[in-house]
Amino acid sequence: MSYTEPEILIDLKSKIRQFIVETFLFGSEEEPFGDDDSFLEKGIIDSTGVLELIEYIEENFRIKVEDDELVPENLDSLNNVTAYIIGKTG
Amino acid sequence: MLIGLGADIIETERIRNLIKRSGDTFLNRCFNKDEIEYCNSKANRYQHYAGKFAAKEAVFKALKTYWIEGFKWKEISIINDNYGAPEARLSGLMKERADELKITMIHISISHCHQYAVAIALLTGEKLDELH
Repeated sequence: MSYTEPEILIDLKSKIRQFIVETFLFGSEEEPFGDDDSFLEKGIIDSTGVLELIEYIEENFRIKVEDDELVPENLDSLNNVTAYIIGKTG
Repeated sequence: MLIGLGADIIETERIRNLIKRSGDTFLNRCFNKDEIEYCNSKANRYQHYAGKFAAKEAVFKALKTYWIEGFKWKEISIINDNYGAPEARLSGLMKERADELKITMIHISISHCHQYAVAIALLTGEKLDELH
């Protein structure tokens, strides 16, 4: 079976979602969040959580998150994080 | 005149984990050289890092800055006077924000126990109309 780009995208989103659920939602998704939901507005992560998310991204995807990239457009939703990682990893 | 008030609480363990996993990357992202030297000089350095981090977050809240403007942890420096009392020194965008609000004094209080660090920031100044 060929590994198409959408499948890679789905896999990536799934990994990030799993990290967020396990780390910030105590492993429970009783209040499911959408791919475009703001993590901060939804109360899923706080600013310390942003740092934990960055640490996860840097460790697992071998990319360096620059200080000027710490903006909601890159990190404040599942879709934003996914697009950011894809953009950084080429 | 009261211009802003912010409070924050943080689990020391979360800060400890970030330092242990990310090391200098996390420290250099959030803390200035003087802060790092001060915390590293303490036996319970994770509590002190957590306290300073909570104080920075409290100042963010008191200044009413939000993520849309980016997190600028290093633009809020929490230093200690000769008696150990914390003070906040601002630079960059955080200083601009404080100047806009005509803040003349930032009062900081930090406390911590084994598990948590808590901080309060009280901003005082001349003007009230930016409060709301």
